[in-house]
Amino acid sequence: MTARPTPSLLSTRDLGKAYAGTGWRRGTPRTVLAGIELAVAAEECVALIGRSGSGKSTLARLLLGLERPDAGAVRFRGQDLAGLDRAGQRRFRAAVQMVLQDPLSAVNPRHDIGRIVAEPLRHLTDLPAAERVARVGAMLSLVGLDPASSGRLPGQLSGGQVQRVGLARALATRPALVVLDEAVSNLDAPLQVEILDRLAALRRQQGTAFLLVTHDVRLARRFADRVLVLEGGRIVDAAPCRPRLDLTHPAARALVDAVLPAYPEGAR
Amino acid sequence: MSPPASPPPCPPPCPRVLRAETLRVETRRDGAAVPLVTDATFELRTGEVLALVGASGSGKSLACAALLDTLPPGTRRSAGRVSLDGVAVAPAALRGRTVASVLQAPRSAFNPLRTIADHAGETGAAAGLRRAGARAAMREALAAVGLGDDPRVPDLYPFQMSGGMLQRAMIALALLARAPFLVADEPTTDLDLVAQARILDLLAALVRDRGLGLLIVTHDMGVVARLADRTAVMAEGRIVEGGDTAALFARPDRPETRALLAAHHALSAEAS
Amino acid sequence: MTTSGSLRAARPGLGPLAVPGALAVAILLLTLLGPLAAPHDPLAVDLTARFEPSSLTHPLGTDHLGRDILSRLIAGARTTLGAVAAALALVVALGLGVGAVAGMLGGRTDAVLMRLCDVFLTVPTFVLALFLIGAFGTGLVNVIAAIALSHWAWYARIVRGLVLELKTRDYVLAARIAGAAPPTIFVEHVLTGVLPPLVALATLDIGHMALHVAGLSFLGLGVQPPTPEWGVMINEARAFFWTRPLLVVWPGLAIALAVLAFNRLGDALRDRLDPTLVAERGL
Repeated sequence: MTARPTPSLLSTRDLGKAYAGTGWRRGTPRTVLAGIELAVAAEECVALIGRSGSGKSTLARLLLGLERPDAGAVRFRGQDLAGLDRAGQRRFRAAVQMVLQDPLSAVNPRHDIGRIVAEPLRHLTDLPAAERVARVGAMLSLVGLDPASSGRLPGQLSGGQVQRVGLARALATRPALVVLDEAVSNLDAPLQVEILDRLAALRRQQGTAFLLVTHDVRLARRFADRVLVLEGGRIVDAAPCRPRLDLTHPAARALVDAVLPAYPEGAR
Repeated sequence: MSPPASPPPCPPPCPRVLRAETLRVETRRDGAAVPLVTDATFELRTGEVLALVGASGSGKSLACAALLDTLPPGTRRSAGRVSLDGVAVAPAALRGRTVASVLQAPRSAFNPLRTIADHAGETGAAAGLRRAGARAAMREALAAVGLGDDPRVPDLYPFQMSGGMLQRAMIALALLARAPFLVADEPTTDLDLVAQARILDLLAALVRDRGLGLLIVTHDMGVVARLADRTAVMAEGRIVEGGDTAALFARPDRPETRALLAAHHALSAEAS
Repeated sequence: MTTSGSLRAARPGLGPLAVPGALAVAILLLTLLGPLAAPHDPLAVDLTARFEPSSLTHPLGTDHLGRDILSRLIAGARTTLGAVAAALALVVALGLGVGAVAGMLGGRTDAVLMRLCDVFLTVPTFVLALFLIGAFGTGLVNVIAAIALSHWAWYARIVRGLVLELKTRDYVLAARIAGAAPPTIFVEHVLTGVLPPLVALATLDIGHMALHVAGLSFLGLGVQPPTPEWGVMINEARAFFWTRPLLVVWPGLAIALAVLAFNRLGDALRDRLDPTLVAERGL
C-alpha cells in the first residue's frame, strides 16, 4: 500500500506472527502470518476470507491489540499500537471492537444482559450510570432485542439472541470499526441475513466501518465492499465485491467454488 | 402436515426402508411434560438422501436422536415407533449394524489418546470383524473417504488432524460397520466451506456407489439443494412440510419453508 | 436444545446440606457463644466433686479436678475452631493472593511463585510445628502459623489452576476487548469461578485442621492446660483412661462429630457450588 495523505482507520505494515512449537518436541517457531499489509478506511466494509487455519483469527487478534506481533506493526489512525499510552489505548479500545464467533461462550453466564452490554461502557467511557442504562437499552433495540430483556441471563436466551447481545456490546461505545470474527457464520441463514442487514443499516446511519472475518464467500459478497483472501498466513488475493466479485488466486477460487448450489439439480 | 411421499413401486433390488412413525419427544419443566418433537413421521430408503431441515431449536436433531434412541439426558421419547422393512424394531438395536452415525463436532467424538487405527479396531470389533480382516476393512474404508493415500493416517492421533480429516475419519468408521443407513447430524457445521463441499461430495458418492440411505440433519438450504432427494422441514417440533426437494424449492408451501428459502436465496444471489 | 428443565430437576436441593449444615451451625453457634452457653465456669476447680457421673448439674460429669466437662467441651470448641478459623483465614488469603497473581500475570512471576509453592509443599505440618515451637516456644499462635505455612501452597496451586482455566474462556477475551484491566477481569469474571470450589475446599479442611490443632495440643505442643481445648482434654484424661474412659470419649466424640459435620458440609457445598452446576443454574 502506498502512503496516504489521511491515515486510514486501522492499517498494518509488514505484519507477522509466529508461535513457538508446543509439546515435547519444540521445533522451530511456526509462522502463522507474514507480510500482511492491509488498511481499513473509515466507513469502509472489508471482508477477510480464508479457510480454517489460514491465520484469519490470529490476524483479527493482532488488529485488536490482543496479541503482540513478532514483525511489523498495527497502526490506529497512523499511530503504532505498541506506542500508545494508557489514554491512547483506551481511545483505541473504544474505537475498535470485536464480536467473537461462539456467542454463548463469549458472555459470562453469571452476568445479566444489561451488565454484559454495559461492560465496555464502564471501562471505556465516562458515561454516568443513568446514561449507561439508557445506552444499553438503545443498543438492545438497535440489534432487535427487547430492552426489557436486560435483566435476563444469557442461558435464558437462544443462541441467535445471545449473538445479538455480543453485537450490542461491541456497538455500545459507538466504535469506528467493528471486527466480526466469524460472528454470524454459525447462525441460520435467516438470522445471518437479518443481522447483516441491520449492520449495513447501522453503517449507513453512523458510518461504522466493519471488518468481516469469514470462510463464507456468500456473507462477504452480501456485506462487504471489497474482499481480501488469506491463505497460509499471507494475503494472496484482493478484489472489490461490485459489480462482480472477481477472484483469481486458486485458494480464492476454491472458496468461491465451495459455495453450495442455490437450487437442487432437478429444479434449476 | 403430510409425511414425505409413500414409497414408489419397488424396483429390484428392493430398497430397505427405515421408518419413524409419530415420534414424540418430551422434557419435564417444573413438573409438567413439555413436548419438543410432536408427531414426527419420516421414511428413509437405501440409495437415497433425506434431509431434515429447520432453524435451530426446531427439534430436527432431537427427532433424529429419537430415531436412534440417543436422546440427551432429560429428554425422552414418549410415543411413536420405528420400523425396519415394515417390522417394528427397538431403536437402540439399530445403532452400529443397521444405522451408522456421524456427529456434528468430530473433535469431541474421538478419544484424544487413541489413534485412528485404535478407533477403527474398536468399531470393527463391535461389527464382528476379526483382526486381520479389520485392518483390511479399515484401509478400504479410509480409501473410500479419501484418506487412503497417506499411509500415516491410521497412526495419527485426533489432535494431529484437521476438522475435515477428522470428519472423513468419522465417516470411515461409520462405513466400517457396513450399515445400510447413515445418519449425519449437522456433519459440516464446524468445517469451513471448502471442507464442507468436499465432505458433501463424499457423502453423495457413498450414496451413489454403495447405495447407502442417508439422513442428514441441517439448517442450511444449500446443503439440502446439494444433497437431498427428499426433504422434511421442521418448525417448533413438527414436520410442517415434506416431499421431493426440487418441488419444495420450486413451490414452498409453508411460511417456515419460505423464510428458510428466502434467506438462502438472499445469500446465494450474485452467484458467480 | 432445551434440556434445561431436566437439569433443573437434577440439581441438588437442600437435602444433602440439611443435616451436616445444622450440625455445623450448632457447633459454630456454641463456638461463638462459648462461655455464655456453658452451664459452669470451665476453669472452676472443685476437688470435692472429682469424677462425678452424669447428673442434672453436670450433664457429662466432671473431670479429675472436678471441672464440668460439658462446659470445657463448649469452651474448647472456641479454642480449637477459633485456631482453625485463624489458620484458614491466613491460608485462603495467602493462597488466593498468590494463586491469583501467578495465574493472572503468568510468565516469570508465575514461575517464581510456583517454585516458592513447591518449597512449602514439601513441609509437613507437624515437623514445621516442632520447628516453630522449638524456636519460639509452645503456644497456639505457633500452631496456627505452622498450619497456615504448611497449607497455603496447596490453595495457591489450586487457585492458579482455576485461574489459568478460567482465563481461556471467551468471555475473558471479550472483557479484554471491552477494556477491562487484569485486576478487574479477575474480580468480575474469574473470582466467581474460583470462590465456589475454594469455599468447598476450605470447609473440607476445617475438620482436617481441627485434628491438627487437637493433635498438637494433645502432644503438649499447642494449647497448654488448664485452657480448655479438645486435644488437651484427651491428654489430661489419658492418665485415667482405664478407670474413667468416658473422660477420653467425650472430647474424642466432639472432635469426631466436628470433623464429620464439616466434611459432609464441604462435600455438599462442593456438589452445590460446582462451577458447571452454577453455570447450568443460569439456564
